[in-house]
Amino acid sequence: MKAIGQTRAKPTWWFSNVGTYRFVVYGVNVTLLMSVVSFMEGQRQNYKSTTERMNRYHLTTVAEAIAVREHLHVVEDAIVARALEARPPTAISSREPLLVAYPRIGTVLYLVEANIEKITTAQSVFHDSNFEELAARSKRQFSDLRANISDGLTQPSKVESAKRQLAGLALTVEQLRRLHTMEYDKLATALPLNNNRHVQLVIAIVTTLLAVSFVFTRQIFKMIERATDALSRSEERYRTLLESAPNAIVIVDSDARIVLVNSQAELMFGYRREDFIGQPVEMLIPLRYHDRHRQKRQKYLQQPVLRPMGEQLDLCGCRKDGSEFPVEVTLGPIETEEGIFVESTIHDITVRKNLEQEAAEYRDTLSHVSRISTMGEMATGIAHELNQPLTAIAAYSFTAKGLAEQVTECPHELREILEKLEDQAIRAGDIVQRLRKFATKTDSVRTITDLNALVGDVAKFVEPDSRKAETVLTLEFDEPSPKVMVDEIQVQQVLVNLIRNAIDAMQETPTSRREITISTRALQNGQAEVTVSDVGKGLSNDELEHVFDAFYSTKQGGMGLGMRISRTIVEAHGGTLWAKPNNGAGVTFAFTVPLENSHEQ
Amino acid sequence: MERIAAQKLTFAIAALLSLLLIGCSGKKTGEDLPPVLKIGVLPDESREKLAERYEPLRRYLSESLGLRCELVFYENYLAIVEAFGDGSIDLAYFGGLTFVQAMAAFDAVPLVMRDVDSRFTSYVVARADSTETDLAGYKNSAIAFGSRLSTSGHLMPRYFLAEQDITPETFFSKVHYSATHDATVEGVRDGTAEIGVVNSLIFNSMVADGRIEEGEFHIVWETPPYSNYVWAVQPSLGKTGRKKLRDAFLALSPSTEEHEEILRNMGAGGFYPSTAATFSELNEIALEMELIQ
Repeated sequence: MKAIGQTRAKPTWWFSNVGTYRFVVYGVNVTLLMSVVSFMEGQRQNYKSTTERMNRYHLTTVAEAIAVREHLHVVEDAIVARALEARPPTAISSREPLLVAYPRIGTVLYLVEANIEKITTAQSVFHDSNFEELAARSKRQFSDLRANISDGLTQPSKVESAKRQLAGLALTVEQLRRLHTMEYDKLATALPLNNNRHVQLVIAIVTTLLAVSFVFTRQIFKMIERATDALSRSEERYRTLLESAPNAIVIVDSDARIVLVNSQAELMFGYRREDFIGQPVEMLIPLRYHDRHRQKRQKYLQQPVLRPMGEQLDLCGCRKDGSEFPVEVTLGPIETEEGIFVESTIHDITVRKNLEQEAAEYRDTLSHVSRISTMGEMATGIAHELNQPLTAIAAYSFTAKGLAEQVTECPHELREILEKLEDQAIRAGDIVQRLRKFATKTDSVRTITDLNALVGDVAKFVEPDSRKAETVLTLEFDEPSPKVMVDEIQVQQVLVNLIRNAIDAMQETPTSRREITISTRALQNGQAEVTVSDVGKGLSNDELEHVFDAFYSTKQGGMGLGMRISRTIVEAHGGTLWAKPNNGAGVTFAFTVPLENSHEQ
Repeated sequence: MERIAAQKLTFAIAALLSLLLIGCSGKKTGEDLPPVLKIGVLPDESREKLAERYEPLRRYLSESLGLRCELVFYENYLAIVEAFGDGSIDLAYFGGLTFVQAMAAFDAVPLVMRDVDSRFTSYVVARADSTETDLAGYKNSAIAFGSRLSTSGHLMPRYFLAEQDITPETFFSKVHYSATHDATVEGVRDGTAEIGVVNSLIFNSMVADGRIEEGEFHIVWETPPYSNYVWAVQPSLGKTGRKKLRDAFLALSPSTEEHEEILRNMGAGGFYPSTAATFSELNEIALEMELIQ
C-alpha cells in the first residue's frame, strides 16, 4: 500500500523514471567500476611488467653474483695451488697471455668477466647509484685482479695481493647480491598476491566483500525490478479501476494534497492531471468554503469512515474557470504507510439540480393554477349569487321607471336617476357575467380566432382601467387580420395581464406621455406576433431575466404570478413570450401564437 | 562476469594497497648526518679492548665522511639500548636481541652487518660418551641454554627448536640457564645437563684454544645459520645520511691494505647491507618470550 501511496504522489514520475533511475545508477556504477578497474588493471600491468623486469634483473644479478663467488673460489684455489708452477712470463706474449700462462685461472676469469658484464648490464635498468657504484667497483676490481694475475704470479707478495684482490672482488659481488636480494624481497612483499599472508588475507577479504556486494547489488536491482513490476501491475490495475469509475475520483494524502485523480476528474474540473498533483484539495472548492472545509477535513481524519460528505449541505465544486457546480461527494479512507489518504468520489449533480428546480417550479405553477381555478370557481359562485340580486335591481328599476312615467308630478330628475340605476345594474350584471366567463375553468378549446378582433375586445375590456390611468391605447393591426388557432379566453387573459403590467409600469411617467401600443403581425414562420409596448420606467437586466419567474414581482403588492401564467399559456400554445427593452423608454412584451393554417399542417 | 570483475577489483585493491605501502615507506624524511657522529658499541669486552678494536673504524669513518666521530662506551647491554633511546648515540653496534629491542622501542634502522654476522650457528652438544645421536634421543633429558637474553645461547636455538615442534619446557625433563657459553659447556661436562646449547664460534674457539678437548664432546645438532650482530642508526637520520654511512661501510674492502686492518680489527672480511627482515625470526621469538613488546 505504501508503494501505491508513493506512486500516487508522483504517478507519471514513477513510471517514467524508475527505469531511467535504475539505468543511470547501474550505468554510472558500472562505468565507474570499469574505468577504475581498467585504470587499476593498467597500473597493475604496468607495475607488474616493471616488477617482473626488475625481478628478472635482480635475479640475474643474484645468480651471476653467486656464480662469481663460486668461480672466485676456484680462482683462489688455483692461485694458491698453481701460482708458482706457472710458465715463465716470457711465454705470455701471445694474443691470450692469461690463458696461455694460467689456462685454468684464465678460463674461469673469462667466466667471471662474463658474469660481471651481465651484472653491469642488468644494473642499467635500476638507475640506482648503489648498484651502479658496486657494479663499477666490481668491474674495476676484476680488471685489477686480471692485470695482477696476467703480470705473473711469480712472487709470494703478488700471490698475497691477488688473494686480497680476490677477496675484495668477492665482497663487492656479495654486497651487490645482498642488496639485490633485499630489493627483490622488498618488491616481492609489495607485489600483490605474493607470498605474504596478511596481504593475501586482506585481499581475500576485500575480494569476497566486493564480490558479495557486487552480487548483492545485482540482487537488489533485481528485487527492485520485480517490486517495480509488481507495483506497476498493481498500479495498472488500480488505475484501470479508477478510470472505469463513472464518477470523478480525487485521492488526497493526510495533508489534503492531491496525489491521484482520474480522467473524469480532469473533465469535471477542467484541470489537467499534472495541475492537480500536490495541490491542496481546496482548489476544487469555492473560496468562500475553504475555511469550513479545512475544519471539516480535520474532523474527518479523526474518524475516517466511508460516508457522504457534508450531508444536508448543498456542496459546490469549483472549475478551473471559476464556475461553480453542485456536487455530491462520498469520502472513503485509504490506510497507507504514509498516513491516511482520503478518496473522494465526486458526482456532478447539475442536471439533477436543474430537474429538481424545474419540478419545484412546476409544483409552484400547479399550486398557483389550482388556486386560480379555486378563485375562478369562487368567482363563478359569487357571480351566480350576485346575478340574481342584480337582475332583481334591474327589474325593479325598470318597474320603478314605468311607475314614474304614470305619475305626472314626478320630477324629471327622478326619472333620469331610475334610468341610470337600471343601466348600472345591467352593467354590473355584464361585469359579473364577464368575470364569471373569465374565471370559469373551462376545458381549453382552441378555435380559429380573428386576432385583431380578439385584441380589440381586450382593449375594450381594459378601457376603463386605461382611462383611469390616463393612458392612451394605440392599436396597430396587421391587415388582413391574422387568423390564429387559440383558446380565445386564455390569450385574452395573457393580453390583459400584459396591458395591466404596462399600465402599472407607467405610473411614474408624465400623463401626457402615457401610451401603450398594441400590435398584431403575421410572421413567416407560421406564427402571429402580438406586442405590447409601454414607455414606462423599463426593466433592469436582472428584472428582465427574472420577470417570468414565479412569485417575482416588481410591483408592490404584486403576487408575481401574472407573467409566469402568461408564459405557461403561450408556451402551451407552442409560442413564446419574451420581453425586451425599447430603444427609447419602456419595455416591449411580445408573444407568438400559431396561425390557423400552421395548426392544420 | 562477476568473477572477472571481482578479480579485476582484487588487482585494483592490491595495487591500491601496494601504492599505500609504497606511500608509507617513503614517508619518513630526516636530515643529513649530524655534525658529530656518536658511535656506541656493544660492551662485550673491556673498554680498552673495545677502543683498540673500533678506533681504526672511527678514524676511517671520520675521514671518509668528513666529520668528527666519537666512540661512546657503556657498562652493559641495557645501557646502550637506553642511550640509543634517548638519542645519545647516532650509530650503534647491537647484538641480535639488543637490536630487536631497540627496533621495537625506538625504531632503530639496521644498516650493515659483518660478513660473519650472517653466518652464525649454534650447537647442541653432548658429552662424547653419550650414545644418542639426535635430539629425539634426548627427550626427557636436562638441557642447558646460555643466558636467557643470549641470542645465540638461547633465543635463536629456541626458535629453531620450535620449528622442529620442540618446546624445551615439555620436551626436556629440565631446562637450565647458565650465565655464559663457557658455563654451559662446563655444565654439560659436569653432568648438570645432558645437552647444552652453545654459540658455534665460541665452541670452536674453546676447542681451538684448548679450553676443552675435542674428544670430550660431540655435536648432536647444529642450527641453521642466522644473523646476530648489526650496525644500526637512528630513524631520524635521513635517507642521504643513511646511504653515506652505509656506503662508507660497504667500501671497506680487504683488497686495500689499510681497509684490511680495519676489517681485521673487527673480525670482518667486509660488510653487507642489512634489513630488518634479517631479524624477523629473532623478533618473533623475542615477542613470544615477552622480551619486547
